[in-house]
Amino acid sequence: MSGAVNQEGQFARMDFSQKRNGKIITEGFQDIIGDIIYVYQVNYLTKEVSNYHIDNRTGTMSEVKTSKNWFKFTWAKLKIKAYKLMQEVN
Amino acid sequence: MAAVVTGKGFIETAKLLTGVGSPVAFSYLALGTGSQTEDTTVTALATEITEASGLSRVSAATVTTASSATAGDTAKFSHTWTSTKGSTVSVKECGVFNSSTSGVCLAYATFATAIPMESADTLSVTWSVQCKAG
Repeated sequence: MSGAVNQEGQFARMDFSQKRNGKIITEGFQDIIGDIIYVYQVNYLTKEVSNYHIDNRTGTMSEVKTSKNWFKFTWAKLKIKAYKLMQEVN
Repeated sequence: MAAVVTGKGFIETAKLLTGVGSPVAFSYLALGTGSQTEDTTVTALATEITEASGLSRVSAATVTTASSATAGDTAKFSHTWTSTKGSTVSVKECGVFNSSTSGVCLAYATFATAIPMESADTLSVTWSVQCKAG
């Protein structure tokens, strides 16, 4: 992954959600704040969470976590919720 | 695992700024089942979904501008796909294009983990690409 996303001055963000029978089962976002790319994705059925932080200057992935850890799952849910609220405010 | 604006995307954007070279605006979104390193050299999805499944490339339902740092400085592309495929499709990638087939890829990302789309599942994606000072 090193060097993969280094692009000075770029700004692209992707928000997404998957619904089944009207209920969200997967959601997340990929965003850049400063030089750090934030990647959050939660699957509510499997309670699997992906949480990546990538240094956009070097392309170095600083933390790689894809797990079913309850704490990280809850943290990612809160992060996504806060992110959505922030978008609504903006 | 990170949304990236491609080199070809920047080139087409420069053409749009000048009108040189018959540029075409971006308004299409595509999903794929493959994955590749997200960097500036990406020109297409690794494995774009092209079969009749409700998940193939579309003219985005919403193409608009929004405000980030400055009013109207951000292009937004949104669409919701509904899978009509009888079996599960593992969606792994998404891109923004300027044509219904092929075309220039403005931005690209892979999902952190594959999204298993079953029949009647919906997938909503919103891309935001901001024009900003580097």
